[in-house]
Amino acid sequence: MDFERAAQLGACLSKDYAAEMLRLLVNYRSLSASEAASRLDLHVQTAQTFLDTLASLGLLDKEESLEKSRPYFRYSLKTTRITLDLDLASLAVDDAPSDLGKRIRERKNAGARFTEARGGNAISSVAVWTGEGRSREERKLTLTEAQGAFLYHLPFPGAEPLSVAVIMKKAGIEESRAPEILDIVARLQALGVVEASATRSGEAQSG
Amino acid sequence: MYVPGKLKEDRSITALLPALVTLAVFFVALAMGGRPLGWLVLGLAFAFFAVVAARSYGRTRNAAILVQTAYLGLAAAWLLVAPGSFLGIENPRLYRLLGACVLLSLVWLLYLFLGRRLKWRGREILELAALPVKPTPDAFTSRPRPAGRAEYTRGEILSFAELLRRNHLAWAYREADRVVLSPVKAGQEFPYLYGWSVPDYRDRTWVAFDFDGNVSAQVSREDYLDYREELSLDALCESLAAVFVGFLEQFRKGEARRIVERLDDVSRSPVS
Repeated sequence: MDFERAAQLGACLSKDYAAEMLRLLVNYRSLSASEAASRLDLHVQTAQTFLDTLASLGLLDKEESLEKSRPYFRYSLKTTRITLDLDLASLAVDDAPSDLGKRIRERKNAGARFTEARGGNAISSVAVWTGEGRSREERKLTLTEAQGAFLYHLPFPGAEPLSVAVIMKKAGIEESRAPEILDIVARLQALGVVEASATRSGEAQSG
Repeated sequence: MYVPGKLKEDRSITALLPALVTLAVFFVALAMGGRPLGWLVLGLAFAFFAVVAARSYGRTRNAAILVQTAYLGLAAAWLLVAPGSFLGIENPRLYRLLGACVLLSLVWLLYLFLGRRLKWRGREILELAALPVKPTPDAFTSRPRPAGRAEYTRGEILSFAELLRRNHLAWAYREADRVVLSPVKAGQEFPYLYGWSVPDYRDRTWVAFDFDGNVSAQVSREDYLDYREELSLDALCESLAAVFVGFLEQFRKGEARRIVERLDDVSRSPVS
């Protein structure tokens, strides 16, 4: 199951009427949104949305019924067991050699405020102003130990950019921490704090 | 050696403010109550400055401040007991002796002042740091920069920090695992010497030596903008750290005097 479908299922199961709704589905051969809503004292649209979501996730059968004056849908359970199987590895940041070879430095006039960690030799957080006008707000990113050491060694705005791999080596960060480093680099790039330049051949390997 | 200055000229009159305010108060008192009141006010002002100076000695241990304290204290006594003033004494010999002491301490103080023994040397340090840095369009960042490693022991770096503070080269902040040295410019020393608490170094220029041998440096926005031209911040931080590492090496070789001589080559002015 991919993350979006797992999130939909999780959202459905977290509703306070979910258990009662599933009880009805288990005990009735089939159920319309109107029937479910009248039993659980819900708005019919609420029941309809819940049942449609479960149907889109493949847990319910949805059949059109024409027995009344207007056509409507009836829902029936396809299975009495729900398994939420989510592979978290699919969420990992791609740390291909090309990403580690990306040459970066702090962007000029980024306006970021760096807070030095207690004891020095690392940054503990970065604060950046985002948005415009009334929606302008300060976004503060608290850093992990490895990310803090990495940012401490990030080249200054006017300095020669260095590859992620070289900065990691200078900061004494293990290669196994590369995904979290690449994650903060991507976030700071999106916030305009870090800028990347073209990869210099061979630097990723040398790092 | 002539060193072309890279810093903007110091036109601040902060250092003169206490004297100017004292003079103004003295003339107001003189106009309102004549010589007795004028002398009393001036004497009390000198006594106040003597106490404040004595307190600042406790923070820096600079011997020249003791001479300054002695001069201010003696001058206060001389003014307060002047014949004809409210607390005047009728003993001309004692009064003349006191006057001679004031004169002697003033001459000594002037000697120390002209020898830059009371001056804070932050500007000279920033000038030295900027010497090898070429003007390049750059942008400021508030991040400290790692500046390599240096050889020293914990005891050596603590003694070195003490030396810099005693000679008014930099304010030393001792932390659990490092020493931070922040150069203080002439005219900006008052909060350090007389404030209720010493200013935080985080937004200022500093060089840190941790007890594992790592050196890092930061240049404050205020100091960066004080240079006439835009300098490479990266190179400036590196050079600033190199200046302090150079001082440390001279200190370790027992050539601490050369540190002050090197700064004297940058500027011979006793005030800025």
